[in-house]
Amino acid sequence: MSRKRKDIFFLGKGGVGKSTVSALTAVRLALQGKNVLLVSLDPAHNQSDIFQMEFSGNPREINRNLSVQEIDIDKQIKNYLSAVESQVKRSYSYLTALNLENYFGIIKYSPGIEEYALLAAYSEITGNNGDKDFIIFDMPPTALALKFFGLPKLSLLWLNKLLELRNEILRKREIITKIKFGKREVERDKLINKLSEQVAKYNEVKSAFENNGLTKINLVLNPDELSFSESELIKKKLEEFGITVSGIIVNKYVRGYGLSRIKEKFNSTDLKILPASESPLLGFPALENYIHSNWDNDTSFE
Amino acid sequence: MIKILNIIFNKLKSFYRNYEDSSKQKAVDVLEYELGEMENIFGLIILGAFIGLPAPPVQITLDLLPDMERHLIQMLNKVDTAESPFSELFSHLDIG
Repeated sequence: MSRKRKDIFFLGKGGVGKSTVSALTAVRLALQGKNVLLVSLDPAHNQSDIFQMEFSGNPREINRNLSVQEIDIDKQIKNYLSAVESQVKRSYSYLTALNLENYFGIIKYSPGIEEYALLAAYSEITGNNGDKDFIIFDMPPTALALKFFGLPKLSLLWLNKLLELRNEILRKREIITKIKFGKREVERDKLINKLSEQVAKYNEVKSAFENNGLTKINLVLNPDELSFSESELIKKKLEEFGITVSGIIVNKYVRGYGLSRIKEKFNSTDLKILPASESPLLGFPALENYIHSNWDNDTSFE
Repeated sequence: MIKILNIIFNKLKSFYRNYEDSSKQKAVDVLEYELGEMENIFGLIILGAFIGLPAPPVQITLDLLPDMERHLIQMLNKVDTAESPFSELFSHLDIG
């Protein structure tokens, strides 16, 4: 069955208003009667402040069409590590498991674990919300967001090589068994199974990221030099991963800033201008008011 | 005469069998050594992060870890011969 849901990501330099634009998009779609889930993957969560209510790792309904959740990355890492640790304890002998126990305390600080926790949260959320029309992801600032999008491709590079090596090991083992016992059957290799499962998992995520029709990656920038340069960098890096930027949102726009450069640089993408709000965009009514007065009926980011 | 020829033939047959068996064993020994080394390389790549080697993204290691007890023990045992890898290799290849 083909998927009807669309996933919309908002990323950009810290402070450009990714969370506000995510919230505005989510509210706008919900007002149109779409079933929307807004997810904050930014460890410095802002959605609680924007909607002025408490959110957690479980979706909380704002109204019939809109739910919001904020992913607790530390909790995600802790749960993942304790699942691995209990698997190790189950399959290892007592002494080996005991020797490894100390490592698990340190692994949570390993480079790479944070983006993996985000990716695991993304997979879990997309897997559990097939009934939604839209999932809006409010992303962390550039460095972590780029690692998140690059992780499937990087992991696949390693996994394919490891799978090659493992297959070669299995082939050698088969030859030895045949010479020794005159038969070809060898015990099924658990590691090959695990590697193949991981390859399938990352291929699925990678294809989802690369599918421009189902996954919309939007860059949020402000009318200033720094956020413009960083957006250029993000676009370039994402293209290296095979991911296309769908839309550019110039947030907090003030009259007078020339848009020609932005249009020239991001010519193949949709451009949306969101004027600076005169009052703080806090609470559902404020977001709704802003949408009515500033966001026409275009469907650029859907 | 026929009896003598039979004895010679049987001797030759048994010599050939022994020769074939020992060659086969030798080939299997070399293959097994090679297989063991490939397993060590696999173990080192996956578990290298524990000893500061360049390693795949941490989640790949962690997902495989529950099925890698044998590799982990093998790596710990390897520490004993790590300082003289050539002597181990030469003894397997029957050199010297």
